[in-house]
Amino acid sequence: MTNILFVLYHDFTSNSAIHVHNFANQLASFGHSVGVAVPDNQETADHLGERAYTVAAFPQFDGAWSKTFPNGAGPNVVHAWTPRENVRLFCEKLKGLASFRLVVHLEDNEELILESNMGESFAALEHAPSSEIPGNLAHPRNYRRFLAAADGITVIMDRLEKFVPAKTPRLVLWPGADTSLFFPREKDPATLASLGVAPENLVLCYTGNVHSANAHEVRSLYVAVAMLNREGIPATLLRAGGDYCSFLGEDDAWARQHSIDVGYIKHVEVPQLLSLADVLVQPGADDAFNEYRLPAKLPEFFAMGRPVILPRTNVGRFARHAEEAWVLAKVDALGIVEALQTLAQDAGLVRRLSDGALRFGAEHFDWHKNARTLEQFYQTFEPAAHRTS
Amino acid sequence: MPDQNDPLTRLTAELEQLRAVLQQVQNTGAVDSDQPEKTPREAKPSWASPAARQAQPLAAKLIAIRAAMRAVQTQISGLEAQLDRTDRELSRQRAKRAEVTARLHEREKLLKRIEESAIWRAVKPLWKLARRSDKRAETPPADDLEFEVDTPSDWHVTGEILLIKGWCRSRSGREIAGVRAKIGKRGRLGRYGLAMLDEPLVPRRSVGRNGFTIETPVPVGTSTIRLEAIVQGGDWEMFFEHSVSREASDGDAAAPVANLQVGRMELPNLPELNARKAVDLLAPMFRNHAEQAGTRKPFFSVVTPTFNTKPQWLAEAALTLLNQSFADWEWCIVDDGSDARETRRLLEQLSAVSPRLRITFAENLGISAATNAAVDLAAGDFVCFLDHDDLLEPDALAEIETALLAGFDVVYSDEDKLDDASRRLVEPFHKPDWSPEYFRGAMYVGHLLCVRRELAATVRFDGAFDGVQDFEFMLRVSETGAKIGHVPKLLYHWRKTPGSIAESASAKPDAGMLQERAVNAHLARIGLAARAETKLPHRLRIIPAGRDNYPRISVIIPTKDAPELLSRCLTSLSTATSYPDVEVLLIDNGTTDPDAIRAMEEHPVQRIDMPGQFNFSRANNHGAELATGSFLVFLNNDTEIVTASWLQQLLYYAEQRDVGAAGALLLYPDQTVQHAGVALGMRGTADHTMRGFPADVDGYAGSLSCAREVSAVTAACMMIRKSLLIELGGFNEHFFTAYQDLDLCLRLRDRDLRIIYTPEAVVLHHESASRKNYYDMIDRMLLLDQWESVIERGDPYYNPNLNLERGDYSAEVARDSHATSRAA
Repeated sequence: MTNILFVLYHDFTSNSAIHVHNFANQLASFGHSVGVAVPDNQETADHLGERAYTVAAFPQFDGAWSKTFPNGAGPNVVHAWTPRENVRLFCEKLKGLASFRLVVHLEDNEELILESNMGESFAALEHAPSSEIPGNLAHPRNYRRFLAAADGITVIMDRLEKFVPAKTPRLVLWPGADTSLFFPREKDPATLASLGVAPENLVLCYTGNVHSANAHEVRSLYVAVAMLNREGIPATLLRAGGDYCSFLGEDDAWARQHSIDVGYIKHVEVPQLLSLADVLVQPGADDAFNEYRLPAKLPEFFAMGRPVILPRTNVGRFARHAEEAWVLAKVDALGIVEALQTLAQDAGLVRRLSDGALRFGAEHFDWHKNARTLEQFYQTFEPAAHRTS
Repeated sequence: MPDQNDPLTRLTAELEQLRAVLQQVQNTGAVDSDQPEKTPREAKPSWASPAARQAQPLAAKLIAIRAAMRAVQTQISGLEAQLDRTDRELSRQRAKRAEVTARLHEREKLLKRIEESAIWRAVKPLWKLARRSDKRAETPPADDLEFEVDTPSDWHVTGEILLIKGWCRSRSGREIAGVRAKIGKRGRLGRYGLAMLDEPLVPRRSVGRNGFTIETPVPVGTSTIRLEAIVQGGDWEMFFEHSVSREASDGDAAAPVANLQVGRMELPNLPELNARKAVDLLAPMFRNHAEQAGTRKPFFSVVTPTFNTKPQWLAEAALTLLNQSFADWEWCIVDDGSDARETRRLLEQLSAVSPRLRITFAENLGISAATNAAVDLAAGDFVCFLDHDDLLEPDALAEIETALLAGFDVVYSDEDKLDDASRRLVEPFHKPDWSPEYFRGAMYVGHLLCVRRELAATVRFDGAFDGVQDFEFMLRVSETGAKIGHVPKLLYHWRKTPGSIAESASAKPDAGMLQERAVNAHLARIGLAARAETKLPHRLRIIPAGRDNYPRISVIIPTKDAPELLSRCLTSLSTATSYPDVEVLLIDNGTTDPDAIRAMEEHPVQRIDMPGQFNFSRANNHGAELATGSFLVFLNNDTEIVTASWLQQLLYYAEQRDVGAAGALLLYPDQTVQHAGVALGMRGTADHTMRGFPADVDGYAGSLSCAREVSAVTAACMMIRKSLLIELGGFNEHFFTAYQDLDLCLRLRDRDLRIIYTPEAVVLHHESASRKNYYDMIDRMLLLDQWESVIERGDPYYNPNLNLERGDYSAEVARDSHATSRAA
């Protein structure tokens, strides 16, 4: 049995926390003692449901390990979930309190995120004073040092391996889908009717907020639906979540007339909405942002057993086109419309893609299986030398 | 009686309240976490057997109990978290308050002393001394504080952040408000008032809560750490001191490397100087630059031919060079036989000052020979051409270097002029990205120009073109296939002096003739069958050569009714077009007007019925499918041909393998510009530039009078190779009414094909007659969906410093000049 401590850069309201929550629960079910450290708001862990791990905020860690691990010993493995500066500094503090193997998880191109947040090139930021770098982002100089010091690095997408130092052991670690919530089911005609969607309408769905980073991609769905209607295919976009930026133009009637906004819904209600869609679409293209990440919604899409349209980047590089998903070079409005026109004429293809999606999901997005892989990765490390202090 | 409005009292009360609630909840809601709740799927009732049915109410009850237990657990977590946060905040506030009180106390004492002494200024030194001894005397005895430090046990630490843990209390019963750790001058407040050791949370007053934790960064190396405590109304008192050491890890010492740089200043403005004074001014600076630069090979060789240069001007040029933020350069000067004594003396005296200053003297062989000699002196990777009296912006070389590192062989920048009389920078010239067609018509590249050294040394300047030698040089550079970039920033200031082209375009009367000769030689070398002839001063028009065989051109006109427009269009096509092999296809979207039908019958056209919902893209694609010509012209039915050779002009460009499409100059009936090319970014998408300009003007540095590269041309009159259109899949038929031409041009641009606008093909566009107010939002959104990132990057042929709202090439005053270099 091993004491494992996950360190998150944000509280449990982030997508990253969902991954940590599930890995932590799985590892606990394998017999390990697991704790999760968050910068603050530790109570947000309860929003994610049952947990078999302990939770505490960074300041609460003072070397009294019995609060975190039943055996009162410190962690054997610390899994830093991203190399962001607040996580790094917390791990620096832990060094004085315990001896452990450090594993760092990469789930984004941190340099790109830093550039985008700071509005400056990474090269320029490398010369910026540390005081100008927010703690919730990777520090342009320190984060590489942090990675270099790690005993192992997990990456959510293989392309992130380019940031892993040459000799550091690495593991590509994909998340899973909660198949107790996300599983295939028929469209519910009553729900569709209650939403005012005609039964013959093709239904697309987007469940999430819109902000400047994804506005372009969500707009593709609205444009696609408007184009379909203009071209004689009645279609509706079901939309959950809020808008945090204006992205449909000053006069958005062209878009709103074909969409139904259901507002904010709970995570447990998402599968019900997804089940109303004929096809699940992940818009985007193979760009510097997408190639390094794994969109949080994709595992759930595959678990729903509906045809999935996605770009040939991240997960799209692994799904077989026309078998496990409909993989396009670029999933924009044009690509979506043309893909839907193809699918509309081929019921056999739709069935094949639905079955293929489930197969792909079961193979790649199984929490239990992926947590076992992570456990084996941890087991490859020699125990850290015992602290003599 | 505690003051309830006092934040500290409020926080303390809140804390106590939370502790009580927490205790209550803990007593009533212990959660059994050994029995994991079933997942919703597992929890679904089983309908298999009667026994199972009987068990349903129990199962439901169990689920309800577990839900309630989970709610209690959530409440506990929330309260615990809130308690912890409040406790932390309380500790912080208490220490802060004590610290502020201490400072106030000190200040009050100081003020009191000042008030008591009328001659305090005189005795200030003594007072300061006394104050220091007072302070020492006021420090309470150290042994009043008892403490223990539990963590760390080893002060040789590995982590950057050190957690210090222990307890501290006053023997005399003073209430400690906070603790801090100090390393050097930096202090870190800790958290005080914790239960000692690892006791669970207990009511504060039941046991002494004197524990503390402090998290402090530890610098690399050995430092002294001091732990201090503060009581309300007192000063910080040190109770513990220890040395702490941390070894450097990789990267700790990696401080940013500063660029080689000399002091920055504004553009210099020197008085008249003689050579001696100029040398006195410059020599130490050149020496300093050489010291900083070291012995490595320079990145830039700045090349300057001189001839009878005023010392003041050369010194000003030198100062702007010495003031560069990028200092890895050398200066190669070749004096072209100056007979001015001061010039020679200045150069002779400077020549031994710095190894980064290479100066030679030549016979008077002309500017090309002198420039070539200076290039021969150069050792840098790139040569930059700086005229002897011109000035550079401080970031000029840095900007050019950034662009060159992106993979260019040649980079040029925008420029303006230095009015020597007023010392003002005037006439900014904001250039497009590399535009070979435009360059054939207008000598626009100019300064600052940097070229890979080997390339410059190979191409060399041709003395036969002295006067336009840099233009002619650039024509031949472009023939090598060099990658040419542009920095849209004003990096070069061209001094307006009598006799220079900067002062007046007529200062070099032979320049026009030399320009024409240079372009004709260039056209011959690259195999373009055309000749250049002067159109306006320093502007050339390109005239395609006559030929024996002309390929068939199919003119495709979507139409419906509109008899007058159609008749005028067809008449002009048949009477005002000199091209020998034209077929006209009318894609008829259901014409019923008898006059329109008659017009179709009266002209040699093919009428192709295409009823149903009108789709401009589909109509044009359908016409293209049926066309027999190898070149296609898409033409609106509300146009009227003006230039007889319009098809020859368009064909000349459309035939070139690196050209995607060619478009005409479209005029409103009042002879003002309707279309002279499209710029990206206007109105959020794209629009025609120079709309409303008189047709016969030059535009912005030849933007209207010269053929040039543009991002797109309108399909109201556009020529394209049929094979290319088919390869592209035609116009995108998902665009119903607008933007299909822009989309097509951008797809052509995506293939590195140029789009050319030519003013030599003039067509009237009776747009107002056929224009409707309808604006298709879906087409707009589809365009943005496809091309927004390209549009946001800016139009390569419409400089970002120009006003995009009006599209009239006026300067964009408010625009930030942080545009970056862009590819040709």
